[in-house]
Amino acid sequence: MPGFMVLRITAAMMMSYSRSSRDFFRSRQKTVLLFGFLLMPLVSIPEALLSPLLLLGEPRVGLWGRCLGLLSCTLLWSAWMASQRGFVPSTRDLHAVSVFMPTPMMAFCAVMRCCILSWPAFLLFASLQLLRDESGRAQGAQLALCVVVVVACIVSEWRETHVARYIVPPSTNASDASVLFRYALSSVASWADPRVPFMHGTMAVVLAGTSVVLSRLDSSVGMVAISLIGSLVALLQLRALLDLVSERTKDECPMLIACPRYHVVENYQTCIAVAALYTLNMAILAASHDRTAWFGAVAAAATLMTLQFLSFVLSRVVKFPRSVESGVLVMFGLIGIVVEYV
Amino acid sequence: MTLLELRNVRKGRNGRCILWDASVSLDSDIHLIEGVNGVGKTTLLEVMCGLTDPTSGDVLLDGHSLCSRRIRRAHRIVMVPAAAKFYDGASVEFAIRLYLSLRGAVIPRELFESFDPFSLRDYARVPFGDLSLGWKKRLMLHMAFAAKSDVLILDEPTVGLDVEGIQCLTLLMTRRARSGVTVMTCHEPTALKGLPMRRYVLQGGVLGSVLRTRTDLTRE
Repeated sequence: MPGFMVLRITAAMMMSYSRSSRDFFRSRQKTVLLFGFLLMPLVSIPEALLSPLLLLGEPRVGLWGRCLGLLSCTLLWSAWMASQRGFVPSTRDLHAVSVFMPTPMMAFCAVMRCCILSWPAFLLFASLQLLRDESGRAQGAQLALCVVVVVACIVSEWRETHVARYIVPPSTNASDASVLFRYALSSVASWADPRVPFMHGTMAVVLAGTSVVLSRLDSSVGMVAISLIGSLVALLQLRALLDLVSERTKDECPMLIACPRYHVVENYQTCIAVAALYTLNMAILAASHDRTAWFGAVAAAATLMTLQFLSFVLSRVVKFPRSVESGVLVMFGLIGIVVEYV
Repeated sequence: MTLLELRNVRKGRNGRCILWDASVSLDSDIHLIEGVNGVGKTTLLEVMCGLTDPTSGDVLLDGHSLCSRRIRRAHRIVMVPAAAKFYDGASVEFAIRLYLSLRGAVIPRELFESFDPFSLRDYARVPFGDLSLGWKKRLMLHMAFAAKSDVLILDEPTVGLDVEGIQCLTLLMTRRARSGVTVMTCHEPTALKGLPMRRYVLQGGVLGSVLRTRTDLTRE
């Protein structure tokens, strides 16, 4: 890979962690379109193929290969998130086009939008395809991931017009807490944002990797390291989800963000997010195991639930800057690699 | 008397300084901020209500910094943005209930019984997305005036309103003129004729008071 491109990816990663990056990318949409959607996927294919190797604990990959895989995972994630902040192709915003565009064409655009925005999930999916193992666990994870991506994409479009209307029916007898909770539920439905499948995809790969590695490792230290990576990924997921919801609320209802009791809604949103993430991840974990290994799946899911609860507490109490989160993730990732390799 | 004060507020965006040195004290009255497009009026309002932090300087509400204790101060400030935005699926009634709940205000059982200046009762069950721009704007203004506040910030409140809507707005603003600070931007202040207000001009990022004060206007 050319050094120039490495510099660009690194720059994109650094900028994705600063608040001004959104404005920066907004002002350079054409560059982002070219860089984020055409060059990045092409350049990142080798790295994307390597990263599942790392996470799946493939013994043939050496130490440097694992480090490169982890680094590429982080870079890919960062560059992709950075590119997404600036450019969201949406036909809804193009009112002039929608006037004369036929309905089937609009539907096609909506599907294309989902496909474009969820390309990292499909990349991970394709990578997993190349790593079939005999136990069938990876295939189970693939299936679960595929289902998550498809459902999230469909719900994303559906939510825009219907979900809010059904979750938020008019009611004259609604209590204060009920109103706030239903609003939180409705706003968290914006998880169906096409960016989210990638987060779930990352988690699915981590879980699939964990399940494969657990079967090969006897060392409790290795398991601890992997659990730590899993918990940090869960933390990142949670933070990213809440950031998405907050960003969307600021765009859609700026009046609400400035309200004094908005933190109550945020607490509801976090609880709902934890519950949904737990359910989803447990489903993925169970799907990635053999039918005879249900006990192990439930035990692992219980561990995951504990970790996610800790993540929940951390995300509410400690507001890490993005760079710190990333640094901690990389550090624990490296520890995991070294422990596993040794 | 409520006092909103800006001290040497600077705000940059995209590497460009939008507000250079905005300093002003606003007491209980109606204050109109004027300026050409892109001069930073909306940014100034966002800084005033605590939606964004100033790059440097401070915003004080009754002598206390707004930046340091935002949640507590937010009880006293209401802002209506220029764009009429809300969740498309939420009905008019639910939007009002949600907003008042988030502000911690007392919600009457019959929502439009005691307060319905913009005649929203007939639209109570209509989803926000199905409303026209004018009715969306009426809804947002209704929410803002229903939530009792010491500081009311209005960004282009007349955009989309018809004559009747503007009359209602003028009436409501006149009623609360002495009870709290009202800050607004408006490119067509003539639409609010008869409304006594102090005028300020934002030019080159610097907020300066224009000589036309409330007394002058009354005299005119």
